Amino acid sequence: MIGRQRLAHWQQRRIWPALTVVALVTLLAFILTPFLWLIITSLKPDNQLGQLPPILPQPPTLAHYQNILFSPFAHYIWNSCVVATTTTLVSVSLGAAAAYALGQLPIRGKIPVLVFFLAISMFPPISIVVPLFQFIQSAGLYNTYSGLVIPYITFSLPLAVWVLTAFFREMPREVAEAARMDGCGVLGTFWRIAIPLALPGLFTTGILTFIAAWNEFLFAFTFTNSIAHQTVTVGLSFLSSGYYIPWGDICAAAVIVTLPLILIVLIFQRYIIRGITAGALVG
Amino acid sequence: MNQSQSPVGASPQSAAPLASRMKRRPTWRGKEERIVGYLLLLPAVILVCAVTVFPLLRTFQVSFTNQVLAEQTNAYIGLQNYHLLTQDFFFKKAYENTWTFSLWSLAGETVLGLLLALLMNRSWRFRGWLRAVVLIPWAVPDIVSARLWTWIYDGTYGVLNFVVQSLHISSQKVNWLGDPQLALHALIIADVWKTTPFMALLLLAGLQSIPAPLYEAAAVDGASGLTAFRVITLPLLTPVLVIAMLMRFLGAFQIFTLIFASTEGGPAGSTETMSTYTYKTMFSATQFGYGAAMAVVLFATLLLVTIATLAVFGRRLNQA
Amino acid sequence: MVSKSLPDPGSAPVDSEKKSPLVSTEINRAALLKTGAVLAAGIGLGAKARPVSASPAIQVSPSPVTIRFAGVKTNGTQPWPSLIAAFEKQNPTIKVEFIPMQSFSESTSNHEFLVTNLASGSGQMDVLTGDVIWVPEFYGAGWLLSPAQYMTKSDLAGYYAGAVNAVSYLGKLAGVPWFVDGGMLYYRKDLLSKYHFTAPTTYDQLVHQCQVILQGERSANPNLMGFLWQAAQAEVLVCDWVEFLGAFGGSVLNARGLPSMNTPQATAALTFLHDLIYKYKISPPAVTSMVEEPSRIPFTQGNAIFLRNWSYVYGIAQDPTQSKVVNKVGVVPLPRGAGGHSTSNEGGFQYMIAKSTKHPAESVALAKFLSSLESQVYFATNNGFSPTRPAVLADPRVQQAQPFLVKLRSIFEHLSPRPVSGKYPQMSLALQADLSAALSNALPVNQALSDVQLRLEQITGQI
Repeated sequence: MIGRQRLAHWQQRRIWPALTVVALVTLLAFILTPFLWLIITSLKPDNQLGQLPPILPQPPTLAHYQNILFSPFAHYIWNSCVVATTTTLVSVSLGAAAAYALGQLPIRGKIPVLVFFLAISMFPPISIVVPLFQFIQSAGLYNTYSGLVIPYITFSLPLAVWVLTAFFREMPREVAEAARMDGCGVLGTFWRIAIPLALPGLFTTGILTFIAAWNEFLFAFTFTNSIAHQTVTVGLSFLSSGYYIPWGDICAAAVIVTLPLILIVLIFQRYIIRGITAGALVG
Repeated sequence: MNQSQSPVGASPQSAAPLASRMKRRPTWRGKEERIVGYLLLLPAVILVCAVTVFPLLRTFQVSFTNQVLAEQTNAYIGLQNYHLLTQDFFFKKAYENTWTFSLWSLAGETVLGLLLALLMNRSWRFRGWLRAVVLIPWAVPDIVSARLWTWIYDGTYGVLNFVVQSLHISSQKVNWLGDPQLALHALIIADVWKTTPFMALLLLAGLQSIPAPLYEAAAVDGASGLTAFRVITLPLLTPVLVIAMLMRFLGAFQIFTLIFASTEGGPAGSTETMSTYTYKTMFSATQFGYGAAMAVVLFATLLLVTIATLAVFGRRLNQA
Repeated sequence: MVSKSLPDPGSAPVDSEKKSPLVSTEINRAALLKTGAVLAAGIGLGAKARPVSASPAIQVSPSPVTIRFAGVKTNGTQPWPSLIAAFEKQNPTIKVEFIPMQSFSESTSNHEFLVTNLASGSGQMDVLTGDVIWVPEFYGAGWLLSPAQYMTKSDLAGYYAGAVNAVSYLGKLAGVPWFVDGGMLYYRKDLLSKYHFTAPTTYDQLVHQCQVILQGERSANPNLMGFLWQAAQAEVLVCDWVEFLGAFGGSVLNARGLPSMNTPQATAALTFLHDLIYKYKISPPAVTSMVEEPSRIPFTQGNAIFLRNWSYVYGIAQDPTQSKVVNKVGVVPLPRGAGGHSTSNEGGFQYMIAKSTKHPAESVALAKFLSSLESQVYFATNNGFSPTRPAVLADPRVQQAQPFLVKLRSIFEHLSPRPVSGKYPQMSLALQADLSAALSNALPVNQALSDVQLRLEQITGQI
């Protein structure tokens, strides 16, 4: 018995950490290698693009980055920022409100409501693009930011509502009850207790929503027709000319478009605090 | 406050004897909570209704017609489209491919995502960086990811073939995206790459919601890591896990850009999925009626899956 | 069945709109633009029966008119800014708003964009550019305005007959010709001359030449491949198929317009293609994943002897920043097989007018301007587009800048279109599926052909 405990102890101190590092490195390699290839391709001169060896560009060139940065591509990035940010803010706030109701409050018909929210995202976007297009047109929203944000919200709301409902459900009622005992109204409990506790879920949902809105193509392409409102994904598709697909430029644009997202995550991730702490339960 | 009132929402078992009488009549606080609950729910519901009800109903309606835009036909034909679907060999193949793709992709991203989340949950110094770096595949736009993997998998100048041949795993170049036996699986791997971060991030957030004291108590009791995982982590993670898997299943089932930007459903229809086939039917062939019927079948499938998931896991999800 | 004769603009109106007597007489472009435009706008407006939603305020008096032009993204320098500027200079009252469309390689997206806009009657565009195979589809759907009333006999005589056919459907003019393209055979002059070959005129010669050269070059370049073409399950496969089928004496639809894929010619053609990959092994199995660019890249990297592709490859092959085979590439018409003749499939884009346009006269004026001799000379010299007017290749500027186009004029003058039918998109999907199945060994050749024959018969209503 003692021997087994000692072995388990030794296991925990040596083997597990080593295995952990190996597993982590392998996973990271899987995740990063394709992106690394993207970066390498973006630095290759055009006439080396279809050739292997060499793996690395000889010599590396910044021409593709110049092509993107000194073009109107920045407009597309700005448009994406506006649309994605608005979509995220509205989705997360509306979604959090709905999720709190579904997760913590005694309303009836929770399951049908949840299924209702999900129902819209069960239709392939292509099958609703024409009626949606007509709707956007008749509402005068063609080629505007709202014309994109509104359809995007209806597709990111299900994600927000479902994910946040899970988080709010997990929140022990005792905490909310304690707040109620102290005189907090329902909304007060929502705002002052539930939201802070659900912060990991809120920021995670926010990041995922932002990226989903950032990456959407079909509606962005169909509901806009000028660089004034077209987003980054549409801009990327415009890089092709004739039959020619400029791999180098596309990879450079992809790097330019992805890295800011990573930076945003880096900045906001410190707000993804560890969840319910002992303090909250005790107090 | 009145101590004798039972906390609203408490299950009968935990109620005080006096409260069991109270439970039958909703308390004022209960009513207030219910009303506020509906009010909190309303904006989201109204917005979704306003924008989506018309397109959804329209799609249903069109599925009962023989609308083909290029022929200007538009007559009601009842369930004929659905009948035709049951005889459509390529539709059935696409349906099958979609299930294969979704299940494998989901399995891959869940396993890898969970592994990644568990690894990232430890108190690494670089956890912030890890979280951001891990998100890269999810952050890359769909179209870029599809093109990137097409570039990697290319049968004549793709880097994967270069690696495979250099390591002498194969002497010939492998026809990743041109071989009907390989293409779908190659794309599954591409999808797992893209979506693992989504799972990892959601599961990480879920893991972080599990109170640390629980693990500390388990350690004190001498439980091993695996036991703790089985007894604490898995049960408490289940709500987030189930929801993440459901959302990802719905997403995988509707996969479009990855397929269309790489193989367009080929070769030999081996990568044709519901979405690509519906797209081709509605827009390439302008058969709006037939395509709408496909969309409805897709919708019905996903609805059934959702309801089944809720039926099986509903109680677990409802536990506070 | 389908009448392919030139529509006579002087005859009875073909569309249901009323025609004003003013616009059906001989109109010279200047007169149309200077006075007719404004008048016709007013009259045309009154004659238009179709209501359009979300329409801007319309001016009837001689004040500025704005029309929207959706132009596809071409290769090389974009031609639209200069051409639109030139048009606006000639027509000060007409302002053209440019709507960018995607490139040829994003054909499906462009098609979806156009279908969504045209199907909803959105009025978001007046003049559009579209693939030649979309003309029957869009016209059959009732989305296009026939420019017949604005085109005189002499206007139409300035084009190749094939070009006018390409923009006609069911005997009616459905658009204005822009450019055509055709499949051609690119080959490595240096490799062929090293082994004392001249460009092949039959596929037997091509196969033989590949085998000899591959054998000889194996040690120098183990990555060298023989013959690259496009066999991915995409539209371009049907283009390739039309060419190979014609080379063996067959066609997708026979002279009576019925599907003829269960013929010995079709079997011979598909068997040949299958043999290219699996028997002679001069085409890599990877062709089943190739569209235009994935087949072009290995060729311009120096890893292929022969390539079937469109005309755009020549410019890239001669560009030192893109290509490793500068000055080593020759181009000839595609070879013929047993019992057939050299066939080149008709590609290209055309101008179309949306039926919902509020300014039909101005829209047609723009289309005619962009299709004029001067514009086509510009397209030829600037972008290397093969023209739809015989006069362009006789122009000294084009002869100097693009001798390649002039040399291959015989190809462009004898292009074979894909089946012209409103149901072509469905036929194309069926062809793509079954041909891809045969070429990737998922189905035996015979079964694939009998299957596609059955499906084509169902689509065209024979069954």
